Amino acid sequence: MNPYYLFLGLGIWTVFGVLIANYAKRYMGIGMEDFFLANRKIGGFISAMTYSATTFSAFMMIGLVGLVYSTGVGAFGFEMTYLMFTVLLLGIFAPRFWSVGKKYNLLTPSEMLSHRYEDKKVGMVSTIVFLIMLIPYASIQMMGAGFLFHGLTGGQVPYMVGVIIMAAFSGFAALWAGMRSVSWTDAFQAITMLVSATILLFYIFYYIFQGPVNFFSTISSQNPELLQFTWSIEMFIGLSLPWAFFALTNPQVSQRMFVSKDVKSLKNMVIFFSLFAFIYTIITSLFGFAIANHIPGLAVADQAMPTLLSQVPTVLAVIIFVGIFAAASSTLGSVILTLSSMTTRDLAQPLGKNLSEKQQLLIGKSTIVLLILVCIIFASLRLELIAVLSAMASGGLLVTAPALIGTFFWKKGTSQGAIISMLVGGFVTGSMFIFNIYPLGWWPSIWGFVVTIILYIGVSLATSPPEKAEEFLEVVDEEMKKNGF
Amino acid sequence: MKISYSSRDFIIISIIVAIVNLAIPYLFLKDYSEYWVNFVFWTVLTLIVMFIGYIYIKDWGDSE
Repeated sequence: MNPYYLFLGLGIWTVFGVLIANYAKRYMGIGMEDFFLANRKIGGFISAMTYSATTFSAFMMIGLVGLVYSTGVGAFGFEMTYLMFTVLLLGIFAPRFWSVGKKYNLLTPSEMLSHRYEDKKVGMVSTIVFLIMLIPYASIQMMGAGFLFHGLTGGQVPYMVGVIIMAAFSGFAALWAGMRSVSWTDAFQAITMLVSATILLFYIFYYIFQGPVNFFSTISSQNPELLQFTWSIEMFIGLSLPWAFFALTNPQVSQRMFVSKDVKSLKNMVIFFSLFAFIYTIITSLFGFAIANHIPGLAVADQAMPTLLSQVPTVLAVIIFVGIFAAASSTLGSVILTLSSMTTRDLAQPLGKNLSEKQQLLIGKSTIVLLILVCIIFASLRLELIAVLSAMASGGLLVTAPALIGTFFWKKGTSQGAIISMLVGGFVTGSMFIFNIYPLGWWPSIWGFVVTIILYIGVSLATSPPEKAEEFLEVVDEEMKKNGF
Repeated sequence: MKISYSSRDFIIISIIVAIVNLAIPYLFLKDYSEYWVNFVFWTVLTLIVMFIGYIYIKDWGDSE
């Protein structure tokens, strides 16, 4: 494809994105809460769209499509498992995060852990775990843009140009007005993702398969192996378990449980997100089946979508490209903003002691720039296999689940239990992934999770719970009742 | 510590979904490809979970 069309399409789209970010800035106030949480004043629709755009990254249109292409319907089951447990986790945790966030003025999930366990070291350790696991995940979004630019233009646009363009747009969205510009541009990006994917679905249905009925019957008769569930139970659980806890363990989404302006907005966030996720997951999964039938035999499954784009009309390819770019940049911007809020609030603030709001904001904004630079360096290393790296990030973050669940459901959970379980669990999971160790065929995230649970419970029982743990749980209960949950 | 009724229900539903989500595909659907049956199974199960979630979530804030 002529790079001119790609730059033109992306350029027009970016102008709208910049205008929206700039408009969001008009409503910006001062202080940390305003910059990182939009002063907890985000309405239901925008909350749902920023939640959706943050959750769904380039993985859906590249990694998931490739996974369906190569392994069939199991990949769809894995992604739907994520959605089911996200709805259930939001049902359990959204009222709790939102209520305590408001009550204690908490800005980050790490700050919530520090508060509950009465030890700032818990927040520091969890922030370090989040940084280690999410920097590769954020970098993957830039890599996606780099590969797409390079691939779609037949190598005319260098890989690093794509990386830099993505970094610039996401960095701008995060810096310009913090959570306000990120969530408003996220909403624009979520709509772009859904509309562009829907257009491609219609094209596939009507131009490639001559109608939806024919599509389903063609796949059924010509690709029955893709409709068979062939995943081993070890692979299904190994991939699904970390993603089932994604809503709780990924701070870029769990922080969004703090931002809704009222209970109605929180409620609408969950309902509209689940609808968005349901439609988007079905559409992207169908692409995998369609490409497997239309362009069989690709050696690298992640090339399925880029190869399709090289064969469709240019206008459509540009629209889909912008949709994938939007998915990646919205995830990247949100991850960077959340990581910078935690670096400021949960690392710099406890270490620096008595930093003023102004100093904290300066650190926060500087961290955004620093994180973007780190991700650019990581992306330039070009590590392969987007799906596996994304899964490792979620697998690694699973070690924060016991401490987060214990925050609300186990008064005997202690700071020592939380710290040791996250550190050792993170080390076990990370080492097993790096050295490719799968004892008895089970994935590293499963072993790491088991180690984390045992350590969290064991160490907590051997140490004294925080003085006000019971009081914290009573306050949660009272606040939830007061808020009508 | 008391867990509110809706949270307790959500936890019980999560456990049931975890079991059904593994048991049905591995015990009954593993070798089938006809009628997109695996695809339909996960679509329907997800719709059921979303509907149950909606039933509880729609009442949030009612006693405000």
